[in-house]
Amino acid sequence: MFKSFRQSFSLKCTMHTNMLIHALRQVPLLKKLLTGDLYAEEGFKIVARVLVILFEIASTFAVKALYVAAMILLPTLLYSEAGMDRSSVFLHFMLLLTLAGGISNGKFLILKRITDYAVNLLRMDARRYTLANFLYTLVRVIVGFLPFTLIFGLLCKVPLAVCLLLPFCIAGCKMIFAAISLKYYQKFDILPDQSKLSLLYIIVLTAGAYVMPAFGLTIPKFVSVSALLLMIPVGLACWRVLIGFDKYKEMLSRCLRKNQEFMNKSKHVQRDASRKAISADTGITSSRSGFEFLNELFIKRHSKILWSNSLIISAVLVFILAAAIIVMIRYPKTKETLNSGVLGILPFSTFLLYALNRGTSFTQACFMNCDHCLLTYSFYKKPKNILRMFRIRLREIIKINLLPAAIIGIGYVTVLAFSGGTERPIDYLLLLGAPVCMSIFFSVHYLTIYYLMQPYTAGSELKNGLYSVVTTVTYIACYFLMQRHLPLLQFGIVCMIFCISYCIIACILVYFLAHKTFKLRQ
Amino acid sequence: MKFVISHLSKHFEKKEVLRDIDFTFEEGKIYGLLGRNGAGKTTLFNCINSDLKTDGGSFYLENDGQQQPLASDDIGYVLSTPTVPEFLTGREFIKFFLDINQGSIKQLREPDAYFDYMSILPEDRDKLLKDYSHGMKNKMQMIANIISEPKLFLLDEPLTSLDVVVAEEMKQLLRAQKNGKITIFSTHILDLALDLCDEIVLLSHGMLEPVEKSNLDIQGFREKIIEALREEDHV
Repeated sequence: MFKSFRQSFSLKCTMHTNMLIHALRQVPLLKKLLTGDLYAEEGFKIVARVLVILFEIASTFAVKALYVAAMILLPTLLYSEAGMDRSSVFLHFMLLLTLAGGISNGKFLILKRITDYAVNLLRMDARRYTLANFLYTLVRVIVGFLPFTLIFGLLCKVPLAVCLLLPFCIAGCKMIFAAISLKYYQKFDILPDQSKLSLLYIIVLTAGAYVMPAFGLTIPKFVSVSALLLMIPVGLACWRVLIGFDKYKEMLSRCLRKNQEFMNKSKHVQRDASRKAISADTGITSSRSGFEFLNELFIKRHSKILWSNSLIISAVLVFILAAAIIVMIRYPKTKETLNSGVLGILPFSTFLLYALNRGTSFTQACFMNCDHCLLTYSFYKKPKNILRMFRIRLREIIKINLLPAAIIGIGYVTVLAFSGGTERPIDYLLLLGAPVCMSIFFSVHYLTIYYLMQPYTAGSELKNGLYSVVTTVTYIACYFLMQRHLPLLQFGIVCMIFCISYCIIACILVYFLAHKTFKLRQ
Repeated sequence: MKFVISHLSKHFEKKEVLRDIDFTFEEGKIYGLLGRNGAGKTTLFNCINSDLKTDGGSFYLENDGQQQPLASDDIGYVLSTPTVPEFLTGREFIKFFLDINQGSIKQLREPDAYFDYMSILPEDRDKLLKDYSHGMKNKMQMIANIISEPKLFLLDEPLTSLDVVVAEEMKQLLRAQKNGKITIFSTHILDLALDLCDEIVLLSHGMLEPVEKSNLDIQGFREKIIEALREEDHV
C-alpha cells in the first residue's frame, strides 16, 4: 500500500509542478522568458516540486485552522459571551459539524483528474490507490487538526485529553462514513456522492449546530464527549469494511464517468449559454444591408442578454428614484442626509456603473456567436471592415449602457433638486455628466480591450493573461474609488476629462492596431 | 496564375515547423496536402491566412510573370469544423455575403439559386444556422466561398466528418469549382486525396515536396506516398 501511495503522491507532485510551470508561463511578462524547455529543466523542477510540497504542508494546517477558528471558535466565543458554558458549546459544534463534515467533506474517493490518470490510464490497483490515499487524508486530518483543537480547545476550557483526542475522533468519523457509503453502494447501488439524503442531512446538522445555542440549547458535554470518543473505536472497526470491499475499480470508474460527464457539461456551459441567448424568433428581420444588416440582426436576436437587462436595470433605477422622492416628501428630515449623500456619490457611482455596464456580456456574445466564425473569413479581417464593425458596435454598446447611466444622472440631479439644491449650479451638470461619461468610458474600455487583446481562442476559451490583468485592474480601481470620499467638483471634472481623453486615445489605438490584434488566437 | 511560396519559415520556440518552404502552386489544380500529425499543415494555412505571423519568407500570386501580394480577399479558408454565424438564417447569411461582395461578383444570382446549387431544401433556407446540421453548415461555408470567388482556396480537413452523400456532393463541387483558382486541400485520408486531387504534395520535415505519379498505377502511387511519409520516422 505504501508503494501505491508513493506512486500516486509522486504523480500528484509531477502534475502540480507542471501546472505551476504552466501557470507561470501564462503571466504576460514571464511568458517570453520562460520557454517550454522549463518542463525538462531539472533544477527548476526541483524548486517547483519543493514549492508544491510546501503548499501541501501549508494547506494541511491552513484550511483546518481557518475551519476551527471560523466555524467553531468564533461562534463559541459569541455564545459564551451570552453566558453559555464555553466548553459545552465548543464540543456541541465539534460533534455536529464533525458529523456533517463526515459526509460532506469525507469523500474518500478522490474524484479528480489525477484519479482518472492513476486508475484508468496508469492502471494502478484501484483498491490500493483508494485506501492509500484515504489513509493519507486521515493522517493529514489528524496532523492538521491537532494544533488547533489543542490551542482553541484549551482556550475554550476543553480538557487537555479531549483536545488531544479530537483529531482522532474526526478521522474515526470519516472512516465510519466511508464504510457506510460502501455498504450503501453494495446494497442500493448508489454511488457515494450521489445520495440525495446526504445534502438534507448536512443542512439539518449544520443548521442544528448553529440554531440550537441561539435558543439556549446545547448537547450536554458528557454526550458530546462520549459520542466523539466513540467514533475512534467504531471508526477503527469500520476499517475492516474498507479493506474487505472488492468493487473499488467498478465504483471509481462509475464515479469518474459521472464526474467526467459533469465536467464536459460545464466546459460547454458558456458556449451553450451563448447559443441559447440567440432568439429563435424568425419574425425578426432587418431592412438594412451589409454590416449594418449583420449588426441589427445580432442586436435584435441577442436582445435577451443585451437590451432586456439594460431595461430591467433602468426600471429598477426609476423605481429607486421614485422611492427616494416619496421618502423626501413624506419625511422631510431625510432631505439633508440625501442632499449631502448625493453630493458625495460620484466615486461610488464609478463602481455602480462598472457593475451595471454590459461590456463583458456584449463582447462575449460578439465573439461566441459572431466573430468566432466570421474571423475565419478574409473579408471580415480587412482593416476597413474591422473598423467599420468597431464603430457600429461602439455605437450599440454605448446605447445599451447609456440608458441606465442617464437615469442615474437624472436621478442624482432630481434628488439634489428635491433635497434642497446646491449653491453651485455646476454641481447639477457634473452629477448628470459624470455618470454619462463613465458609462461611455466603460463601453469604450471593454470594446477596446476586446479589439486590442482579443482574449478568446478558436475553442472559445478565455486565454489572455494581459486581458485578465486589465479587467482585474479595472475592478480594483473601481472598488478603490468606491471607498473614497472625494469632493464633487474636483472628482467630477477630473473624471469627465479622464473619460473623454481615454475614449479618444482608445479609439486612436484601435484605428492603428486593431487590424493586427483582432484575430483568432491559435 | 500561380501561387508562390518563397523561403517561408515558422518556428514555435525551438521547434522549426516550416523550414524554408519554396513551392509553386498552379491555377486550375486541386493540390492534396498530406502530412503526418503535427507536420504543420494547419500552421502553413494559418500563416498564409495571416492568422499566424511568419518568421521569414514570403508568398504571393504571380500573373504573367508579375508578382502581386496576396490580399485577404484573395483567400478562402474552410476549416474542418464549419464556422457560420449561428444567429443568422441561411438566407440572411447569403444576403449578407452578397451585400459585402456586391462590387466584385461577376454573376450575381438570387440566394435561392445558391441554395438550389448546393441542394439545400426550401424548408431549411429560413431556419437559423444554429439549427443546421454539420453538413448543411459546411455547404453554407462553401456557398460563401463560391460567392466571394477566392483566387486561393484553402481547405483544412473539410470532408472528414461529413456523411458519404454530402462528402460526395462536396467533392463534385470542388471539382466543378477548381477552374480559375488554386485549391489546396489538406487531409489525412489518402484515398480522398487520390480521388479528388490533381497533385499530391507532402509536408515533411517542415518542407513541401511534390510526389510525382510518373508511370505508377494507383496502388504503386499510394505505396510511394506512404513510404515517403514513413521516412519522417527515420530522421
